[in-house]
Amino acid sequence: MKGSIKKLMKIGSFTVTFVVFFIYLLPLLWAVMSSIKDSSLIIAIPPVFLFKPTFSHYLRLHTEWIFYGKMWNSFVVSSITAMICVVVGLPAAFVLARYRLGKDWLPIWILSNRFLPIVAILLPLFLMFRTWRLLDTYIVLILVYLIPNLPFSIWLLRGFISDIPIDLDAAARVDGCGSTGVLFRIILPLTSSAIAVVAIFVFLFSWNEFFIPLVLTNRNVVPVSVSFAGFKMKEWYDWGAMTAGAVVCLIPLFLMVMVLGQRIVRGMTLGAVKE
Amino acid sequence: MKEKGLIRKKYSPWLFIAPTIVILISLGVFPLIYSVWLSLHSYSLMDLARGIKWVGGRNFLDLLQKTGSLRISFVHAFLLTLVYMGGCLGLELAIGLGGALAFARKADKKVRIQRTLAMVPMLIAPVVVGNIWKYMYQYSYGFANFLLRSGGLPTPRWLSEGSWAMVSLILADAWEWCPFSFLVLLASILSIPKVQLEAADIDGATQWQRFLYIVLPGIKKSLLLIILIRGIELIKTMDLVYTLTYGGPATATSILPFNAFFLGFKYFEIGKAAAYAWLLVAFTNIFVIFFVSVLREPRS
Repeated sequence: MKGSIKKLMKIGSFTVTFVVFFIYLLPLLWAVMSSIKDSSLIIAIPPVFLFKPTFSHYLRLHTEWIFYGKMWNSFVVSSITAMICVVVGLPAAFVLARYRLGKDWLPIWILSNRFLPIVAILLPLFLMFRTWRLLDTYIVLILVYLIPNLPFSIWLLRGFISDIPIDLDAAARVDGCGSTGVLFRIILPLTSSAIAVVAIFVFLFSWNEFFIPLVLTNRNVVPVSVSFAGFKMKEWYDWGAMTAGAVVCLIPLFLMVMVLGQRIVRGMTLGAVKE
Repeated sequence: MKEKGLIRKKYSPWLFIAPTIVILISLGVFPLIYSVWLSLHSYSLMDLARGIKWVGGRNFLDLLQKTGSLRISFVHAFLLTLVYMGGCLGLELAIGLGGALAFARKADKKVRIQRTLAMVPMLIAPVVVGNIWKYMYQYSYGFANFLLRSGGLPTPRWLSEGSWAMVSLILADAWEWCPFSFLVLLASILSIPKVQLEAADIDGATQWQRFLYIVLPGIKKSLLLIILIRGIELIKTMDLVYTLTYGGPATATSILPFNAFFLGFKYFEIGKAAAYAWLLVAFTNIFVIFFVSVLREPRS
């Protein structure tokens, strides 16, 4: 008798959590559903739940909005940014973790660049790049993406490196390794999974960046995020294309969430919460 | 020979970090300094004939009033920003804490998939979240009003009525970010030593006392951390405002970063926009310094 009540309670609480999560994710499910509806059904009152799915919006994304071409731009910029953040960030994180370089002020100054309201530096940067005729190029986007992402990478990597026992460094030094040797032979192999985590995060942040490319690009290297500023005809919104675009952007995201799992919390808090 | 070795040992760490410093100074510090210079000049890209003229503190004084290209005074925009920040933080902390308390009791493997699913919203680009919610908020065919209507409740014009626009913004942001406070608080609650909770049970503490005297002090640091991290992001909010309300209706959701953007990149009033941006930086600094010093307080 007691056992069955317990079982019932368990099923009950499971149902409750399921329902809560279902309601919570409703906007996403609704977007996914709308993306395979016919244009006439998307603005139907009341909403239609049973319909014949169509993939026309996914095709229109290509023909009318050049969406997939912009995805390539996003991909190029985001992956190069991620690479630079790791290559430049790892040595910096290494010396910050091991040499206590610049006491506290240096890491804090580095971090303060992430907290800078981007609108404050975007205006001078816009003027500078305009004079140098560099607007609307990959280089400029990547350089500006480094400002929030490099400090992020350094802080996260510094935390991961601090987790490695310093005895390993000492042992390597006794065996004749210099700083470079320690970095490449001890730190690099031991942080390879952390490096992957950092790279995925930076890729994601760069992929999601909207405001920087909105200002700094206009035709040649427009990334996919900027197309979400304008799924708008003169008088009406192209919800079909918008939701289809959102779904296309969601798929890689789901994969990354599965890979990162609980490490997302550590990343989002810049290493302050370890789980 | 020996001396050379010493020098190398002393300077090589700086070589490792030099590229970082060069990048951050040339792209972070230098633009900020340039922006100080800009903020002290009258300079408009729309009216190049006007040239660049030194005006001292005039730009800053102009921001305090509602004049010309500025549709809303700085103080007004500042208050709107505080409302927005307060609303978002309050809602996110309340939902996150409630969820974390409910889940802390059975944080086993079974909820792991749901926890992972719950993380999805905060990794979606804010600009996509803004679009999806804009669709949800549509007055006639939006899903939000469909739900309200089927529940027999009144249906607001989410995005085109003054105060509702702010509510819409806050709800969309809270939707995206309550998983963040939920997950941080859950980790923090789970790390409270079980012994303390058991001791409280033995002493016959009520649920409320248990929460007030054991859980709350245990998660105080995490609460402050969430306020700090989310607060900084909220001060910068741009994407959501741009897609959801575009600062409107009229100026009902024209928070600070949006106004700086509007001045700089719509009216091309470079000098004023730079001044605006500097006030925004100052506000961010005050916020960060305050919360970091609170976080750093030695535990008593």
